[in-house]
Amino acid sequence: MVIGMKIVRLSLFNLRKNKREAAAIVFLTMITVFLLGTALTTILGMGKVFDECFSATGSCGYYVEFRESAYRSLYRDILEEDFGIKDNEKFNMLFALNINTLSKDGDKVAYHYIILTEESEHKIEDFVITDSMQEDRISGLAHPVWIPSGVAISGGYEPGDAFTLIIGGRDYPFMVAGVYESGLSNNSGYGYKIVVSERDYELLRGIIDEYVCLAFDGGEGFDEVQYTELCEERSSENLKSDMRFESKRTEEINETGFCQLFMWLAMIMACITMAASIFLIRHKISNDIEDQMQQIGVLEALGYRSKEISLSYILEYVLTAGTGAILGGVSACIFSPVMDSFLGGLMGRTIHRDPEWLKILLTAAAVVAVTTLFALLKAGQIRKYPPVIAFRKGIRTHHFGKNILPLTKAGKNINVTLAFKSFFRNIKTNIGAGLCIVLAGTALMFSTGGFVFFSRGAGAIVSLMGMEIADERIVLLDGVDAYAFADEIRNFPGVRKALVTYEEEDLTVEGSKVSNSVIVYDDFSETENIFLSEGKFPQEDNEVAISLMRSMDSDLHVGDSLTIEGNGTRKSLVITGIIPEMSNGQHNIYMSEKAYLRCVPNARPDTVEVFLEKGVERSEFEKKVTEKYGASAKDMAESAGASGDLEQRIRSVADEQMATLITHYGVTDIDYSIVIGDRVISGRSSSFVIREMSSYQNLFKTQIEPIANMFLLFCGGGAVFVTIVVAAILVIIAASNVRRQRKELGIMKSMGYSSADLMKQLAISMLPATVTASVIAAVFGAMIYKVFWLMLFGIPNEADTAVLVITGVALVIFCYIVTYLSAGKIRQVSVTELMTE
Amino acid sequence: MAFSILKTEKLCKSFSNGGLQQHVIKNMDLEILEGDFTIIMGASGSGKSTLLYALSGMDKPTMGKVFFGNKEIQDLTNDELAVFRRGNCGFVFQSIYLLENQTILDNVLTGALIVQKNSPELVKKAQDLLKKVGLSEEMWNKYPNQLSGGEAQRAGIVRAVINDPKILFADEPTGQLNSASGKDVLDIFTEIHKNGQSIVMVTHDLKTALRGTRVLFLRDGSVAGEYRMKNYEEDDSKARRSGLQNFLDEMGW
Repeated sequence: MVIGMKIVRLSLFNLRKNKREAAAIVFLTMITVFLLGTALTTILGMGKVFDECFSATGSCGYYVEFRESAYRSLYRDILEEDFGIKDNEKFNMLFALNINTLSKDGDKVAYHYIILTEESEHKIEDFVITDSMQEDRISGLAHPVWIPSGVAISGGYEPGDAFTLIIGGRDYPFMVAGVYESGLSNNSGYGYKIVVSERDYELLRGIIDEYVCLAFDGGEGFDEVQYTELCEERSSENLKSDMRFESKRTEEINETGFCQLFMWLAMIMACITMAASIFLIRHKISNDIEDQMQQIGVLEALGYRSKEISLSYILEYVLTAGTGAILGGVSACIFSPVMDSFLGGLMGRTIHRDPEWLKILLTAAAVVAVTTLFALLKAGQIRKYPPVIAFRKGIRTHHFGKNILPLTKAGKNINVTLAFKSFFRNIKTNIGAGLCIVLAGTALMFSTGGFVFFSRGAGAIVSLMGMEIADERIVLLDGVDAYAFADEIRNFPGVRKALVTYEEEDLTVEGSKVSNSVIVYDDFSETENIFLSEGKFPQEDNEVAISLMRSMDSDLHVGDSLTIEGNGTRKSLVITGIIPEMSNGQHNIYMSEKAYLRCVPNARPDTVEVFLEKGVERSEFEKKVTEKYGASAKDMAESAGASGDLEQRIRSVADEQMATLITHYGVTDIDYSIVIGDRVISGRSSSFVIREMSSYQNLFKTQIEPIANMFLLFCGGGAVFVTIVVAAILVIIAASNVRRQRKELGIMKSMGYSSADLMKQLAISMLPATVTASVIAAVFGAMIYKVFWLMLFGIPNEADTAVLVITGVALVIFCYIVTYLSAGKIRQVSVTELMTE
Repeated sequence: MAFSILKTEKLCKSFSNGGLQQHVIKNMDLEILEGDFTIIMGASGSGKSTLLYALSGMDKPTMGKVFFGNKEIQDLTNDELAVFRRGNCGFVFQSIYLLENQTILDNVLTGALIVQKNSPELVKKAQDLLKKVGLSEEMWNKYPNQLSGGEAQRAGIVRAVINDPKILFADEPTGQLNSASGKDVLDIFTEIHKNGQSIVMVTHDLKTALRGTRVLFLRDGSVAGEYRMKNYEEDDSKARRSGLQNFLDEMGW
């Protein structure tokens, strides 16, 4: 009992004596438990959260969508007969790709939309409305729309807000009648599902591609490739560009992928903090033992066993780590609703979870246990000091070692020489501190690299897409010479460049189950967003370049062969280059025009990608194109009625009809003649040149910007957090070094060394460790950054060397300043105190 | 005619002790002359060490002035005082206070290199001084805990004089030494003084005080008496001793 009290008193004495260090350890443990608790509970619970949100909607788990013109009833038969999925629903929907929407701020944002009626919606889920206008108000709305929670959260829409789609340059104003929880189609990747009235559906049907959808449940083991192949085989049609799949699994990956990623990054941060905390505890125990050596000797002489004395040190850290763990655990629970809101924002769903007390408690207990274990191992050091040695302040102070950096060879600045001597003297502590700084510095380099990259906004990620994101993408009608058109476009004022390509089509690679978008250019050297990581661009008709992801997945390299299948042909091509890209599922195939025509002989160049000079507005350019070539067929098909005199109105309506036939029914050539009295009004479809004008820029911006912002926030927060951890490490090391060297510092002061000199010495003595650690951290940071991008996005995106160098230099300067300032306690060391000892 | 090297005017030093002010030095006017070997004596708690710190710029007086030559030092900041001490003061401590993790030669050079640039001449000077105090070459690269107390204190003296300070302050330098070692150390002080070094030493030991040329006796924070002697010579120690003893008896020591 007496011994127990003595142990407690010694622990409390140490805590009171070193409040700052105790506070730093409490802080680090708190952060560790907070991050670890939050990340672990989120990672472990995310699947469950998604499942609960999903099942609350009563949604089916799978859609197979066919372009309406390509759908055959036998596809449903295959589903039912060959795959045994008899319980399925068939309904129609519109799939609008890359549709501009007016945001609440009046900006244009682009999304993919799946548009359907309430009747269809009821076939696939319960249509759980979470927020709605009053029924009588809804019935008074001309164009009501029900939006899924994903759109409401990302766009900040509420019932009663205007919701305007911009299609073909024309506004289609809706009003948000309600917000509902959607199972499938609740993310920007595959598209948001919106519910409109039957009247509006009919209206939009004329201007947006319609799909037939088969919805069913229990599609976990459903083999999309096998189903597609069976459908193609039995119908003898190529369906690759006419089919889409969407499943609960892909929805979950889309929605939770980034959450998982952020939580793993948070776990890494937590591990770094914990490592720092353990190092500091070990360092502090060493210093405390050295500092209290004589007291330990007295206790031992009085009959206390080493084990009992070491318990006082362990108890100290059980108390500090315990306090930190409790604070961290409580913070994690309090933070839980914020986390739910963050998760909800990322997933586009409303999430309510009860705080996971038990898991957080277990995490906190584990952190305290690990900390205690390390403290226990270090405190065992007391056994090395029996009373006599302890009275003599330990054998370690009886220095018989080699004199490193003798002062006879001192340089011009004695402070630097003494600092380096001190560095070698405390080499173990410095290596430990260096390792902590390597860990924290690596995270800092990674975070800063990411922060700088993502601070460039969506443009940063767009630069990694591995495809051209032109200012204007003009799809031409059949029969129009794309090269001649591009030549004309190049002469337009404000046009920087025009590239001819083919509308993206999917081809199959032998041995691969995923479909592959083909990117075709006559000369890839003219592209500006497609980069090689290896080899050269394909030029000849037997050459192909593949994505880095495919290269890694299929172990394919430059010089290997690749067999392309499509349209009944099989062609073997030689891989000439590897291209990092993160678009179209990271499985693009890059071919020259010659090679593409070998694989798809009936293909023709039909797309011109236009790059405008800086400052030239897209709308200005479109206006000029329309003036010269007339409106695009799509715009014409989507335009409102005609005006003017009778002939003008008739021609306008005729143009509209032709445009609809061309755009939606694939008609290539039309002639018309209309007789009104003695007048004949005639025309032909050759007056149309352009099928469609669009741009992916808004879509990429809308889809990528929130992710880029999230990364920016996380990287920025991570960098700040790591900086705080580094500062905490240095504060503790500096403070405990000052305490340990108090006598030495007093002697130095008596010799005429000022506090500033001594603070400088202490700060400089950390420099070899911090400089080395920063260099190693920069190398590790660069490697991890590269691996992160490679593993996650299939892109060898490298951190900017200048950023790493600047961060490294800043880290060293920061460490110097923090150590210097933390050594400020040296000012309190007085010589007179020393003399009166 | 000796010059005043150190002077105090109305020097006061108080400490706060549990809310009570304890006046250790009271309005002291004192002058230390160049070339003197000044001994400060007094009973425990009389303010000897406190006076030494105040005179040497190690501590700031509560009130009053301290002139080092013509320079007032009482208002200097701690760092300014440190810079001031570098060139002007040397210190020898009772507890020796060598830097335990540095060799004897490095201990000496640590004191020197804050004032002087490193040069072969400086290193040779340090080595010569060490030799002079009886520390042979094989000891230069030893660490303090490998030396006896007397040897360590001799190294401490070399460290204190390496920069040719204007005044050498010593706080009971033989307090922790046996009599043989103590005598060796005092001989070194005498030798240094003969070479013109001004010394201010605090002691409560008669044998040590005999080495001085001026003894100040402190009582209740003031100089109660002063006794002057000629330079120390081994031969006249008996007469010297009785004269000093009489003075101290008068002072009630």
